[in-house]
Amino acid sequence: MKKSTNLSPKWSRRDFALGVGATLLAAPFIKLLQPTAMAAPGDAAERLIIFFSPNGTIPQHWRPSGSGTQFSFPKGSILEPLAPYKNDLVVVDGLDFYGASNHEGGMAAMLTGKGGASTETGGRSLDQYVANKIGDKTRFRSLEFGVQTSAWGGNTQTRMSYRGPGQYVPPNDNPVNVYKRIWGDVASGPGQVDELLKRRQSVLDLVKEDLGLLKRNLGKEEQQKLDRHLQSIREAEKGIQGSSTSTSGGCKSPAPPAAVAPYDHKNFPAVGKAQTDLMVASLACGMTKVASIQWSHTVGPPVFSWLGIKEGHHALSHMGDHNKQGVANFVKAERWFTEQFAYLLKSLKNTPDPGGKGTLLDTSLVLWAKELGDSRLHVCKSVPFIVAGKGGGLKTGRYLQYKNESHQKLLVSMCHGMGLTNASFGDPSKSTGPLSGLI
Amino acid sequence: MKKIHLSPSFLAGLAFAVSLMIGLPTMQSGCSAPQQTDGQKQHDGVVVHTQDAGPGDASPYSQPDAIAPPKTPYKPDPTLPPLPDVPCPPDVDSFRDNLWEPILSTKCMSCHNAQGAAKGSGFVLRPPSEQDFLSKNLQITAATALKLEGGTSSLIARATATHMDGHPGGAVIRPGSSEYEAFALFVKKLQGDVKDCKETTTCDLSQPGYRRLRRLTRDEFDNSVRDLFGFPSTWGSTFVKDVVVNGFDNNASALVVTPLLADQIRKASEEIASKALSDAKHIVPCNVASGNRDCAMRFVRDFGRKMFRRPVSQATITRYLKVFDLGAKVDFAEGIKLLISAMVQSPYFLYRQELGVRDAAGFYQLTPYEIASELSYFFWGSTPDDTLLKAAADGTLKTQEQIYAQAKRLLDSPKSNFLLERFFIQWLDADRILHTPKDQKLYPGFTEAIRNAMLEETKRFVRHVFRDGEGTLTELLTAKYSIMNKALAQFYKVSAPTKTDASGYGLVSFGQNERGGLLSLGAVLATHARPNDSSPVHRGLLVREKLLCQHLPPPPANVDTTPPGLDPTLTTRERYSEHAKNPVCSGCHKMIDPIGFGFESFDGIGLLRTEQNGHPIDNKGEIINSPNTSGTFTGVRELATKLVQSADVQQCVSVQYMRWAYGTKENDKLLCLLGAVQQRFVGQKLKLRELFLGLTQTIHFRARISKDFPPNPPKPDGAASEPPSADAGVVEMPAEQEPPEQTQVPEPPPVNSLIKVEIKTQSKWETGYCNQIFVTNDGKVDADWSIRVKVDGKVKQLWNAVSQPSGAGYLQFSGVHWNKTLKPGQTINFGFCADL
Repeated sequence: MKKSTNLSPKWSRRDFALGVGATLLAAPFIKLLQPTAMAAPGDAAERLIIFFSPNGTIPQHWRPSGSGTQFSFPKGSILEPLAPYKNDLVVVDGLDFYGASNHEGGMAAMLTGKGGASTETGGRSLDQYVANKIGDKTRFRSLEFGVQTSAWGGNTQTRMSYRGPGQYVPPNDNPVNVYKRIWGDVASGPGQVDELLKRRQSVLDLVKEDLGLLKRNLGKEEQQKLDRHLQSIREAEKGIQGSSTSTSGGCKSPAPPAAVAPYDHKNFPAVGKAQTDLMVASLACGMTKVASIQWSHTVGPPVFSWLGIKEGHHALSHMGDHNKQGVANFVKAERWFTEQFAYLLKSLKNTPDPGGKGTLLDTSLVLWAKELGDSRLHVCKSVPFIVAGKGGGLKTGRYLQYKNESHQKLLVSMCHGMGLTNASFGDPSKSTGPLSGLI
Repeated sequence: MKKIHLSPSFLAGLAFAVSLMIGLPTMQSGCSAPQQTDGQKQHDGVVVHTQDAGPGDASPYSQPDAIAPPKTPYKPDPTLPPLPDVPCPPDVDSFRDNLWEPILSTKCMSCHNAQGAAKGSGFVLRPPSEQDFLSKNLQITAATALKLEGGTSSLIARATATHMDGHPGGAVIRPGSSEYEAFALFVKKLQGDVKDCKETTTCDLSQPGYRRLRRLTRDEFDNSVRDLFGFPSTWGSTFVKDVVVNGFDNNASALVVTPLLADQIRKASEEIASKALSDAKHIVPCNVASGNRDCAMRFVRDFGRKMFRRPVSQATITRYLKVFDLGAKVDFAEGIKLLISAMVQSPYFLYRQELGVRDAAGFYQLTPYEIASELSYFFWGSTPDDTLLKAAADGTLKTQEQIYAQAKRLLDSPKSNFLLERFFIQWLDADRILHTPKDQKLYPGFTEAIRNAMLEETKRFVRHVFRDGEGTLTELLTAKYSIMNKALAQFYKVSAPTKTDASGYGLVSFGQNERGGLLSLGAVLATHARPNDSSPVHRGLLVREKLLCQHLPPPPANVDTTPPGLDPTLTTRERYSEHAKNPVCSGCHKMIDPIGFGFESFDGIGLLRTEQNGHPIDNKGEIINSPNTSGTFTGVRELATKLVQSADVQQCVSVQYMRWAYGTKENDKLLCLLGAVQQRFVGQKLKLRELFLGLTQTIHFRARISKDFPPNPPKPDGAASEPPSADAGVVEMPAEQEPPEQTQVPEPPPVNSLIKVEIKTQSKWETGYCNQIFVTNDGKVDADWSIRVKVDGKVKQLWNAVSQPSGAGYLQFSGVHWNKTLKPGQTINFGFCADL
């Protein structure tokens, strides 16, 4: 495995100035986008994308038929809408979360492997571990997009991304808010930009001073709280440099999303599409290298009324085999999620890689993760995963069937695909090393 | 949760819990050394000074009644393994209070019973219907606790799901929780590791919770911006949602600033600044068009005091003006904008400080400004008003009485609607009514407008009960009326309100209709239901978790949890009754569903029904495994009456309110303080006012302790207290010395000024005792002494000192004119006799 290679384009300040119009941009940001190592092309993926949909699956309706490179998605099965992308992905079956069960347990273990603070991955989730390693080069270390994840607030059910044990990284559920954060800072012209940035920076410097002063009067726990705040401000400093638009690669400033009530369940599809589009646009523009989109959350209640379904998704996920109508509705809802995943792959495939290396999908690793295996049993065994993209040397077009293998190995493999070299992910007493035969 | 009996027996053995406070003369200038006073020679003559230590405080909360419950006898069952022969075996009462009621009877018993999912395990508990079940369960639990798994007690290994064979019920207790501590102590006792049998359960009303920062919640941010700037704020409501702990979004430990939030606050701060400048005459003390640096200075000083909720030091003003200068290169307005942006982002605005200043005993006394913020956010969810800030500046916001007077003022203001609405709505998740998915085809009448009207009904109903009704928990749960608009009345099929206010809302009486009280509000019923049906599970859990404070484990893994399908020929009740047939499910579900069945008169959107699918509705319900609440009932009204009369519910509501009001999870110390408030709440006919005001009257509202630098340990044997290390002193001192505060707040003494206390019991008899107390100045400077001592019973005689009550069970002793000031090295003594 080669070291991570930065394939960012050789953008110049002039490229940015072209086409920016009234968009704010600044020198420090440009420097961030300069390739730091134009090494020979390696096989590390440029970016990591995580897609989550909740409430497990019904394995017999999810599994492809066949095995290895000879497989297909049975008619009417959950994954069938992925047929056009069969050669862009690997279906991974037979992975268990060790030491975890049920909705909350699965949600917490899914991307963290249940690592404690002292483990190699420090209790971070996959996205945050990778972002911590490679995220310094971009305006945002990572971006979290949510689709009705937080109507119930933040808790173990509604969060999948962790900066450390108990430290949730919340997604932004409102596309308008997302757009404003990434593309919304507007200055009247490049001439005023430096002065404005200087003023903003001075305000943040003052806030940092205040944090330092307040911290001196605190005990350890509260100091850590302010340390996190300070770290957040440091990351916001990159954010203040504003957005940029380039004609390089597939980077286009997207149109502002329509303002819809983000938690009205009828808007679930519209919010999800807007968030997917914003995520792909931010990746195309190199705003970040690590992004996730979380659809609802475990025990999530969305009613797929646009499919004529009247029962909430969580309730549907617990329909027994005797309840044919219930199971059929769950499969219908799950197929809808598959269509959304297919739409993401399609968008990535239709967007040129900013480094000129094919498409975004060619240079990315995409993981579709779930928190449960068979939802009716509340188990985290045979939890379904799909890995897509050609980044990291992933050999796609395969259906891999493991038996009681730890999903932590998949997390290690994903890291390796991103050019990292960690030996374990999460609790090393449960599992170490990568998943054989994936990458 | 741990049940607290505030009995003298719990206080026994604590006679020597001494906390010290050196009453240094107030410093007028400088802060390096206390003012020197001429010391007086110690007199040997004994002056008998009678002092009644009875209640002297005007606040009704200082002396809780103390009732000692009789001890439950241990009746061992010879067929079960006996308790081991150890110095301090666990007794039945502590088993009941600390293990059985909070954990075993709810979280374990559901599976670990003779019919349950864990009937085959070695741990099968006996039901309360069995005679001497507590003794038997104590024996059964002890036997499991004494089994070791890799050095760990099997009981703990299973309950924390760290057992090598796992635990199908998952982790039911968390290491570090008070429940875990109770388990650990239980095991330690059984293993013979506890020698001193006295230190089991103590309730010490002098112990506050921890000092900390509380980040403003999204609501508090918006309210504060509104009150500070004078325009409505919705910025906070667009911030990322906060972590919810125990159903509340204001838990101090969970309120942090993530990168996303930092970005959102930064953006909001700039927008707020721009908006403020569009009409700045309220906040900027000069004309913006012609402002100068002096005006900016006054702006930082005066508006900054409001923003930061305390005076702004000269150092801070200087630092802030640098940012102003940069902006002023453009113009004055830009400079002010930058200042506002910085203030909104400053931790001094974003965090409420409850830090205090360390006193000689190692307690942190909250400053009057901190208390002003506590009060205003407690009742108003917003920044302190001018009256509070003035009281803080005057030094008239320190004592229990001063706090009480302000608390009453705040509670009686309409702004305390914040407390009424936010607490009750969050407690019952009523605001989910706006988003909870419903089948539009099945429920076409359940429109956006109805959802909003239901939320508004909830707010107005609570407000009405509190402001215009009896204001009791009883009325809240059982009122036969609600407040609604015409559309909602039509929706509920009740008569429209006859008298309405300008917004169209008015009172509607329900008469014999089953509707009435908090639990039958549309917002509560429709939220706790499925998209196309009622839900006995959701409603049963609502009662179990939110009103009885009993948390059930999640369904076990590897068990088919398929719920009843929507068989159109059956009623919901009949379908859910399937749960009861499967023993694996019934362990838990018999604690849930039968309560929920009592709600069956209300459908999935909270409408009354008498039949379903052609079958009559059966709304009989039952509560089991809740010692003070168990029994059968019919319908929500009977359920509500039953609940409000239950000590379990009264305590649970108190705990829920404390979680919200203090923004923290309960611990043993806080539960002790709550116990006193709760007793008064119950004694005063469950008047909510007592609960709201009572929690401002505890020691936690005025003082805190540090996790890292705990209070100096009491030294009843007379050993010298450990001085905090020099580093600790530096770290814990306020870093930024704010001059205006300094005159209000006694500085912590120099670390070398130490008062050593030694208490000797001179004589003791059945109904009384006499103590002699030796006070030594171990420091290097003169010091006036004043010590706080826990005193059992009533002081009858006192010599060589004067005393005053200092919280329940405590007296503050200080010297008389000849012995009040101690030279370095000097020792004096005083004494008292007390009746028990």
